[in-house]
Amino acid sequence: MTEVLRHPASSRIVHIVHMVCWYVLFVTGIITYFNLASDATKAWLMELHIYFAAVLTFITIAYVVVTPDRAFLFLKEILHWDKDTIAWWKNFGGYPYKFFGKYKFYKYFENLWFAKPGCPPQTKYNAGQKLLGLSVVASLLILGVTGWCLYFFPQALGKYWAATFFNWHVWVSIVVTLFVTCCHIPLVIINWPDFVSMFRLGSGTVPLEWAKHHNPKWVEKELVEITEKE
Amino acid sequence: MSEKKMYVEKPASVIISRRTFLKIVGIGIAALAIGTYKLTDIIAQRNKYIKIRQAGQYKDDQIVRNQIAPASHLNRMIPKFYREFGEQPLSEITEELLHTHYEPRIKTFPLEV
Repeated sequence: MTEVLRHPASSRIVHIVHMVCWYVLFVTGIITYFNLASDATKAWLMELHIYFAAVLTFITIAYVVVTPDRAFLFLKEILHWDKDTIAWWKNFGGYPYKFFGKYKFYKYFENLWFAKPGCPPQTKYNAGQKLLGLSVVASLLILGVTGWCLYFFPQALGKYWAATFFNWHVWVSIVVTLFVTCCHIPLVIINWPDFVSMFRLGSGTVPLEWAKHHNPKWVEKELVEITEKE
Repeated sequence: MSEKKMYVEKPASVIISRRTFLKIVGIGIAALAIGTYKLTDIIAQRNKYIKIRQAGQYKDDQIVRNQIAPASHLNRMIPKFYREFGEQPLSEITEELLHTHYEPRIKTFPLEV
């Protein structure tokens, strides 16, 4: 079976470290913000929050510094919106039809704009994944800047900016975490080969046929063939 | 030994021209410079007031040291307090009035603004 390298090792390491750090930061932050534990526990959770934030910041900067080509290709991909990317949003890539088209109640919706079947050809990431990528990059910037400013010099920010930074830090992280948890994770588990290529202990490849079906423009324009000796 | 066909993405060097690379680096440096300038400006403005206030407090402190008492135990009010009211250090009335109790006041996130 011919394979396509979808996630190189550097991207997979960064993705996994981001995933672990993000959810630890989210849980520690939520418990503290909504006052769900004793004062001493909250103080300890905030210490943990800072340690994991340091790891997240380090791995993000290291990704850009050590593999600038991967960072560039990723940014180029999520910033590249063509007519097919826009067309994907007209019916959410046919996902509503794929999920609910088989049920009887769907006939009441089938004439609506978002209920039609079919998916325009996509590049490496589909339009939804591009939006997710953009929100994660933006939130990493916002959360990094606001978080470290609040940690190192809240008094220098003054009351207004400290409160603004704090509110942004809390609500941006909550919105992006909900987006990731409710959309990204379920959809990527459904797209099993993509999930496996990210998390298995081996190369981050997907079958060529799968890539042709989901990302025809990527296969057509951006891939080159190599031969591996076994 | 068998050969296996595989596909990978074209390297970034094929996709990025020299001009594109310079554009990206230029925009990145500009964004970083403007952001850093703005941030340091905010901090400098805030620190300016903090430093002015700090200087004023040191000045007041120096006036107190020179004119009233060079150390806290030499404050003239203290012997007067014990002579006229508190009897002696650790007396019952002194302990009742001056003794403090510890209680934890940890604020996990001290930003109630």
